[in-house]
Amino acid sequence: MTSIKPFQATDLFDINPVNLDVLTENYQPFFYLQYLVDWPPLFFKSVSGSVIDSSNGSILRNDVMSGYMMGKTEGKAKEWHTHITAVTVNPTYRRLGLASFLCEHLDQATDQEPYNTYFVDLFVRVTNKLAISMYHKLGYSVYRRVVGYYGDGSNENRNKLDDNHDAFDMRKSQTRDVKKETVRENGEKVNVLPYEVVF
Amino acid sequence: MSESDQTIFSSLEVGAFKQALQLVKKKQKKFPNSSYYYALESYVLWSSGDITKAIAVAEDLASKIPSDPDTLRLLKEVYKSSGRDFNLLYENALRKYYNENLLESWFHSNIDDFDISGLQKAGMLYGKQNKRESKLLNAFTLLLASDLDRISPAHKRLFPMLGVKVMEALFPLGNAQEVFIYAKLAMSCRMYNETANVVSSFLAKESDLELQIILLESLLLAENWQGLFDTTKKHILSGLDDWNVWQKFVDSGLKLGLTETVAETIGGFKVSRNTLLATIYLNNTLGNDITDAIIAYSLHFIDKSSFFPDLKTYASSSRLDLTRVFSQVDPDDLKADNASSLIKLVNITKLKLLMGVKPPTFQDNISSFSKFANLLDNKLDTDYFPADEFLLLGVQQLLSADTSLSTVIKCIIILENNVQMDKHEFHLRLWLIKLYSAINCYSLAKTHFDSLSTKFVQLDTLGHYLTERVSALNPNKSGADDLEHFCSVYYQAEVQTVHFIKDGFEKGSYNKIQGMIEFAARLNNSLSFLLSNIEKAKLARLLEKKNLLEQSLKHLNEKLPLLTRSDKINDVDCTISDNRDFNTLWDFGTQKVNDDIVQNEFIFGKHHSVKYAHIFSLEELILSKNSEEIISQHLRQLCLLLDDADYLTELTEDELWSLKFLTSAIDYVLNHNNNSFKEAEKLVQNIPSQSESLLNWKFNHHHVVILNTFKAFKNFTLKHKTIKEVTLNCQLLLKTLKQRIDQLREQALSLPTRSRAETNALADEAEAWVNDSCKEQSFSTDAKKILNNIYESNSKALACLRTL
Repeated sequence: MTSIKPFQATDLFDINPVNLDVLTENYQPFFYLQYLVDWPPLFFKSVSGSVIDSSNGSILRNDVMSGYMMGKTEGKAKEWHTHITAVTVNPTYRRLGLASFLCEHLDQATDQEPYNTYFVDLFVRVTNKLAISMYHKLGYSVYRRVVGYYGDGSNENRNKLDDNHDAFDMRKSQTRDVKKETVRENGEKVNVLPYEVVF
Repeated sequence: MSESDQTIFSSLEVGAFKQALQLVKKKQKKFPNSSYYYALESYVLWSSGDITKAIAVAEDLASKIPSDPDTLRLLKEVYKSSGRDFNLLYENALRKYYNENLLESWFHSNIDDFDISGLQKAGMLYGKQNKRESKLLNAFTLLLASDLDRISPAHKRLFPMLGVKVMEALFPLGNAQEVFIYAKLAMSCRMYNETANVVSSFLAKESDLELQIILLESLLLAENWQGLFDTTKKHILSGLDDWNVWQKFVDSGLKLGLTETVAETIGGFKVSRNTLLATIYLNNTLGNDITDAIIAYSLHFIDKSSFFPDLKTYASSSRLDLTRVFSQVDPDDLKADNASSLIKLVNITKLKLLMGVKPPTFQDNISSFSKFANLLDNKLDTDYFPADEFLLLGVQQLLSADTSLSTVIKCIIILENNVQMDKHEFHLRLWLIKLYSAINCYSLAKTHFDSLSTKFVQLDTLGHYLTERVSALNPNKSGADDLEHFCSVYYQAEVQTVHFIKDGFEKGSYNKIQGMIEFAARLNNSLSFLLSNIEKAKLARLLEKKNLLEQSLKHLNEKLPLLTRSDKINDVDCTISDNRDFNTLWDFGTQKVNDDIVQNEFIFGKHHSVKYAHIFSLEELILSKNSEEIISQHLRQLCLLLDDADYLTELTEDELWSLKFLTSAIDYVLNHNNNSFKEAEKLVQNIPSQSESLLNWKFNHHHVVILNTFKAFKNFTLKHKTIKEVTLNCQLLLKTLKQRIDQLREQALSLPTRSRAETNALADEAEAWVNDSCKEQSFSTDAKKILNNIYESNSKALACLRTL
């Protein structure tokens, strides 16, 4: 039973079942607060929803956080887009399609006013086959390979590929991009360095 | 701030109060008309502990209605500390000399304190400005204040009504945030239909998750079943698969007598977790048998980990034939090389445990784990291994039956076995932290804690696993460093939250501000923070670290008013908040928090609550204050708490002994009461005995408590001079205490040998147990190696005692 609900700062007290996961980054409070303040509708959580006994209104089961999405918007002109900063799911609720559900909600929320972006993008490790496959199913494609995205910044050669440190910048165009100008084919072969990814 | 003003604050920081006061007096002579230096005088007096004089100076200045923001900021600190309403200072100043900068300064000063009442008062003045954002601020602060527990019922009605009027004057509302403020205020006024109308007409133009939820809630509360049914159906037909929508769709449909339509709509939607659960919910609400619906759900989800939490609500229903659910899985048919089979077995096992139907034995659980252990070979490092639950269930079963040292060792062996293969499984780590702490092995507990990479807010919710008794388990510099690290998160967070709350007001992100204020207040008033400061004070005395002690006392002093409040107000800005996470430890099996197992005498004693914090805050402040009047006041309060059985349950025998001794001995020093001396003398002759086993947290605890008691009383007698007879008697008490400490120190030399002997004996026993119970169950654990690690960690903990 999944519902999507707005994320509140107090949810940070209940985040352990999601954030104790080794792949989920824990940020300083300011990082979460900045997203709450700057993009209030784009930071939300999935909850394994409460069950209420309709005969007496008593709560049979409380909400449990099953995952969350941190999104933002940035860029100018045709680069005005939605960015997926973090999407993560509580281990108990994995393999249910929750990450896709969260991504779809973000797509929809920014595919209209007041955001109305041209595309949605995200960065994913080139080795994370499971996530890449999920994003493909959701309509994302690789736009470019960011060489050394997860590295220490020492690599200045965009042709020196390293699966352990490179990321794919994946994109999905939104309704506003009628001519599909923000995506391209064979993006896997387009290499850039991290400092070249600027909006 | 001028350089000479900076010198005044620097003097305050190092405790040079006389010098600071002299500098202030010089400034007053130079600038006789500056209110700031009179406020600074009051502030310096307050900092030096001369509260009466500080308040007299502050009140004299306040009567002249100063309006300089810096002056008011200093006066506010003095007013706050004495429980006076500092908002009056600003109100009076603004009444006489209104200006927008001063109003902003007042508003921000209330954000600094997370003071919602003050924000509402300042917000009322904003409402008089003829600007849209000021009106919004006025309405929003009325909304915040209307949720306060401490306001009168009349204000609870008045605030939202005023807010609605302010918002109605701003119609048409411009964006989702404005609609949010109106909707929340109108809901507080029970204007559910008006809320639904305004929100739904906005949503027709623009989508917003928060407002969608508010719309459904307002229709539900208005009992507008047709509206709720139509709205939820529209969402469903648009393809939205959200449980909140499904549940309200079912509820409203049934209210309208549209059972068939509801069932058809659910059936016509793509099969999903939500629709299958909606069918169960529908049948359950109708009072029908739910077995078929649960079987239908199981067909799709019995091999998902969400199966158990999804269904446990219904498991005890009399309209469910559980045998049919259980019969879906025949444990003998499950293939050992199949992850789906494993999850099915985990789910059925949990359901059986919950219902008490043939619950598995310890051996069953270990066998189940072993059957699927081969899957670990192909598992990604970062994936989770559901069979770990069998191990945790086994540990729970062992500890439920017996919490002896040898059982704890067995549990550690079981968990260590798997943590090496499944290194990111955090439940196993949390249990190991708990168990290693129990057997006086702080360094091993810390290794597992560090492996969790807990950071920032997690240190508030999970830090207690390590800090709860750190002053006893790791009484050295690294223990103090750990505490400072844990406390640093609060100082960082305070700065960050204040900044973003102000930013939130600036950017009009109203629907996040209440949560941010609550978040900030709960961190600021965190019980974990308070308990860490108590540990810090104990450790600071043992290690003779003056700075550490002063930091800790500053915090305890600030929070004491929250502990001593007698009203029942639960507002976050004036209540100690227990943010600790006790649930994740129990997020396996039936998911029932079963703290009796870990809170018993051996494992770790009771969790420390606000009561414990109250007792030890008073104790530390008694030991640190100079004013005998304040000490006597705190002493009376502490004695009352020690007479209350409710407050004693969390104290160990050693702690209770120490508190009784110190209260009696201090009363004797202050009041020369002979009965108190006799009581202290009796107590010092009857010091509780120490744990025989070194592999017990109480071993270190006893040593540290006795030493702390000695140091605390010695320091107190040095600070509070008294008559000769009392001084001599106090020296006698200290001498007897010192003899006990000398005994403890003498035995310290033999501790490594004793620890080796104890662990060797346990190693033999543990190895025999592994061979007997686990050898054929894929356990690769080297029990002797684990016991050797335990010996080394225990030796480190014991070595700390030798250096004290």
